[in-house]
Amino acid sequence: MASVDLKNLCKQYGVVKAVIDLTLHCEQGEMLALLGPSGCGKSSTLKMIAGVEDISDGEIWFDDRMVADLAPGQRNIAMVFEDYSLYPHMTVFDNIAFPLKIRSTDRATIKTKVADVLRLLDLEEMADEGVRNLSGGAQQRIAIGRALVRDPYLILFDEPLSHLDADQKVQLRTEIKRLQQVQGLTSILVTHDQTEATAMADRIAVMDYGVLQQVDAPQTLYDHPANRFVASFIGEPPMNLIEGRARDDGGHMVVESVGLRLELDDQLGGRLRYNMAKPDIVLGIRPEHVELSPGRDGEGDPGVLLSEVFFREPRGDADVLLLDLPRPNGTVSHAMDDTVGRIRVEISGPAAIRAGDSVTLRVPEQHVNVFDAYSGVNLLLPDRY
Amino acid sequence: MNDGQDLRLDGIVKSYGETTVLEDISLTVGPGQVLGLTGPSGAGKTTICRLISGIEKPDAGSIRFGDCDVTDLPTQERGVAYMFESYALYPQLTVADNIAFPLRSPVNKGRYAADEIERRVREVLDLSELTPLTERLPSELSGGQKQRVALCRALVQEPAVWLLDEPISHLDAKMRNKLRGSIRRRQIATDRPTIWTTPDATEAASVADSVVVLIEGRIHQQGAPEDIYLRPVNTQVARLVGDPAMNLLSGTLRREADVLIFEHEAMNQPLPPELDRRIQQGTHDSAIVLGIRPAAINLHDRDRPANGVTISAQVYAWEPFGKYAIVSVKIGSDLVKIKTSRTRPFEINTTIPLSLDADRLVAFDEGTGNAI
Repeated sequence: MASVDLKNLCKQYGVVKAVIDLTLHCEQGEMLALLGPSGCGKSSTLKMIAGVEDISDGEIWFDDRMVADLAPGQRNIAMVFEDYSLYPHMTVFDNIAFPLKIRSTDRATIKTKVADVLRLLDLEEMADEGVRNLSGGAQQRIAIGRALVRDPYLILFDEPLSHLDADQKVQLRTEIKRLQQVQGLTSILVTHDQTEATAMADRIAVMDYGVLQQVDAPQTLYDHPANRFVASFIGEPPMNLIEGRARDDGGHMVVESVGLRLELDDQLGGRLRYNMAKPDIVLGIRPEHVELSPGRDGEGDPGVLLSEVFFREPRGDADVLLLDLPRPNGTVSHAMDDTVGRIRVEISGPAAIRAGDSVTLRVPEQHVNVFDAYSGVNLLLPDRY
Repeated sequence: MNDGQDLRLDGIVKSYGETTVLEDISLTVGPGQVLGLTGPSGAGKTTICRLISGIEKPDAGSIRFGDCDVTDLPTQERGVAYMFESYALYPQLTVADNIAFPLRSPVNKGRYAADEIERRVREVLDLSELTPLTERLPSELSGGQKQRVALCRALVQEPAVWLLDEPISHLDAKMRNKLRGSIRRRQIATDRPTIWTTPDATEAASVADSVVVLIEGRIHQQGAPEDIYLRPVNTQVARLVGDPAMNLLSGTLRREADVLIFEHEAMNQPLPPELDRRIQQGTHDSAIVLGIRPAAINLHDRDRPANGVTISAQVYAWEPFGKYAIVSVKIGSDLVKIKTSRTRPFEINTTIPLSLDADRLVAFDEGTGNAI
């Protein structure tokens, strides 16, 4: 296994810039995810690393070897595709042995290496079966085995779970995560699904319109998104983004929006004061961070907002509630999107709260994020951004 | 077409050759209600939609829209808005024209003026955030965008019944989140029934007034969304519900003094009196399956073991999701999933102490799989 470095990588198709000045490092033994919506440049990046697509500009390094000009076959990369791409007429054993056979590896070595991989992936019992009738999950495990057997520098996972049924998806996700940690596989995972990326990867590079938005550990992305795009892409249900204003109130930074007034502590307030260009901000609040009480308890207390439940969505062990926020006097929402002017709150479920119930809510200020209303940049991050 | 009519299926049977795909299906969807039809792939969800729409005929049983028996009516006389899982868009028509198509069809001749069609199309385009793509052709759309067009083409109609076959399965998480709620709110404001199929039981629960769990052509459970989660009728339903689904461990029962103990290769779990009483009434077999919800397992600090620790487990994998994490552990040879709010990492292959939230345990008969 090797480490991977992308330096100022660019890809242009005619006038369309698919990847713009991408610099990324993947540590040896690390799984790095490339995450973003369709058209964000993640697949173009994967293809350039694999060598099946030429680069327009920049460099690709495996350890201290520059590989950008090498043919795909010379890069020693293994790929795991969305659709498994197994040889349907071969047995499990022969599919995994295939990359060794075409390299004229001797039979004894093939036998030992394939046996090791079969054991690692718990495929020993089906070694002699044909692959045609196996479940999608089993077929994908065989494809992973075929990738592992040749000791590649790097494994590229291209949406490896998207063809699987829900239960097999969850099962294989766990297996890949464990395998990667136990074996220390240098791997790059391309996915549009944020739950897959956060569950499996050590670090995630979030991309949008060809531009890297943030690269960090999953928990950091979740707690401290660099901008509005990352904030709304990571997390389910998504973060509430509510327009508001920030100002200095006698030495304390205060954020105000729809009846909420949050006074930030010195550390967060200091960052906001330092980073803020204009008072127009967007307040980012995760649905599970809102504190909710049924009834009208605490009404009138500072920081407590009286609200009404507009909609309840039962989600098994959680309920997601949509709550009305106070509107400025006399205004009526004309938005087609009936979530506008409301806040999403997640509580343990199934709860007894129903649509129409009165509730009070409080937003703890230590968990909020504050974004610039124009640039979308998170104004509460420490200097390193 | 009567307003406020329900949809009723009675004793529907359907076979293809020797294979029975639907067995005695009876269900009712009230006006302005959403029925969530869930089950694994191949359960027969799409076949039910095809029968209701009239594309296929049942071997036995009846389909009624209100007082009207439509079992033998041809498709075009039923007035069903059917969103196909395969989208089936017209490749030569723009997004707007695809959506307007059913309103302009001969069946609706003279029913909608041009400006009314435009207003209706605009409303569903806005709802699904497709407005910027109005003039595109299907070939210029991503898979998720095509699915939203197909959804709009069904929603735009005023049918006797809506059939939405996996309407949001290919959308990204954010769009799924938004549309789940906004479609439900739109549908319950009408006076017609809606069927919403999905392999995701949590999605079914979140959009429906009642949920039907279909497995291998048979209805296993029908009930309110909370019922399916809290009281799965058998292990097959329990395996489908929850994110992640309930853990199911086989073991035997033993009585020690006054306490009923669940014996498993790697744990001895005392059962609470309430469960004990139900087991006494429910089964005389000593073999049971214990259902343990992923969120009903307590993780303890290795250095400060708390009371009630009964299990020692090995960490198999750790998957974080921001606000919670799923820890997979081995209890004996069983793989058990735990949902925890602790977001610090767990080291693979370390041993951790656990205890079960005994009041939230569920028991199933080992032989039949039925809930006790």
